[in-house]
Amino acid sequence: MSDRKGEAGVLRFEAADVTGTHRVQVDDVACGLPAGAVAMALASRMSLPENVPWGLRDDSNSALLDDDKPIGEQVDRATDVKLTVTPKTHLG
Amino acid sequence: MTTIREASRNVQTADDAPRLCGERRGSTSRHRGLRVTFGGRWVTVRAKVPRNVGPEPPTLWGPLGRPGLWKTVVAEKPGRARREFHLPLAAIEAADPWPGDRDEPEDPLRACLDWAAATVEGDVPDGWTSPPREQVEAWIPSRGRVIQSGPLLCHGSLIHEPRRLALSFALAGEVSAEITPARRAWLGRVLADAQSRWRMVRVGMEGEPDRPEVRAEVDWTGAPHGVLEALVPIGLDALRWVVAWSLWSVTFLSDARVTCRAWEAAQRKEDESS
Repeated sequence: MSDRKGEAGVLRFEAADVTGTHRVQVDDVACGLPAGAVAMALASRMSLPENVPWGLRDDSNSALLDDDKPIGEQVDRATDVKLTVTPKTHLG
Repeated sequence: MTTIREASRNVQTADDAPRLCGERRGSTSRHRGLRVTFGGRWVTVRAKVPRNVGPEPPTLWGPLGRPGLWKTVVAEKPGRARREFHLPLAAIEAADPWPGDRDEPEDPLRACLDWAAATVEGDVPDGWTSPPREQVEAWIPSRGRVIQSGPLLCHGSLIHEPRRLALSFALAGEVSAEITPARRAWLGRVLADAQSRWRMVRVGMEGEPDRPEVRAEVDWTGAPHGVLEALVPIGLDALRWVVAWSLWSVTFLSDARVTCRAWEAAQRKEDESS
C-alpha cells in the first residue's frame, strides 16, 4: 500500500484474509481513507478475486467497518489493530 | 444558451482587436497578450515558458500551488516546451451567462480567458473568492477523492481556502534520496509524460530537492463561478486518469527498496558513451 499523507495521520494494522492464508502488515494507510477502498486494495494485494465485494472486520470486536467512513475513525488506534478482509455475503 | 461559436464571437481583446474565433475549428487569435486556439473540444491558451527552478525539467518544479490551470507541457520537438492553459468547451457551453459588473451579462468564454490572463503570472483575480465548501463538496464527493489502482490507494486533498480552490493527490509522499540519477531521470520523464498527455492536470515535485514529494493537482483558483459546476467534474476526471495511469510507475520508481536493472541501463549507456 502506498504511503499517502492523510489529513488525520497514518494507521498501522495487521490484516489477514478469512482463511488466514494471507497475512500482511500495513504501516502506511491514511486514516482518512474510506474503509471500503482499503478493503479492496488489500484484497488486490492478497490476490483475492476482484469480482467480490470485500469488507473489513475489526478482530477486537468483530464489527464490520462501514465502507464509506474513514478507517481511522472506526478502529481503536491506541491498540494493536487487527483486521480481517472478508467477503460481504449473507445467508438466505 | 449560446453556443461556443456564438460566445466566441463576443470575445475581443482589450484593445478591440479582431474577434477571437473564426468560422473554422483550429483558428487562433490573441487575448490580452495570450495566444488562444479553438479546438474541437478544448480552448488552449498559450504563454511563454518560465525559467527552470529545480533540478528536473521546467515541467516539474514550480507550477504546483499556483492559481489556475497553467502548466508546462513537452512539445513533440525535443527540447521544446509550451506553457498551456486548457479550457474544456463543454464546461463553457454548459454555463449560462451571468450578470456582470457592466450592464451586459458576463460571457462565460470571455470570463474564462480573463481567468487565464489573470493567473498567467501567478496572481489570483481581484475580488475572487472560493465558492462555499458545501457546494464544492457536492461537486467532489469524498468517494471521488479516493483512487485505487490494484493494491495502491491514493487519497486526494481538497484545498478550499478563501482565495484557493484545488484538488491535489500525493503520488509519492517522498522520493527516496537513495535512488540513482538515472532512475530519477526516469521518474522525471514519467511525470513530464503524464503532464503532457492529459489536459488540466499539473504533475510536479515540491519540498526538498533531494527527496521531494510528487503531486498531481487541478487548481480552479480564480475560475469564474458560473463555469465551476461543469469545470470541476471534468478536472476531477482528468485527475483520476492521470493518477491511475502514473501511480504504479511513480510508486516503484520513487522507492529505493524496489530495484530494476533496466532503470539503470540508460545511465550505464550514457557513462559508456562519454
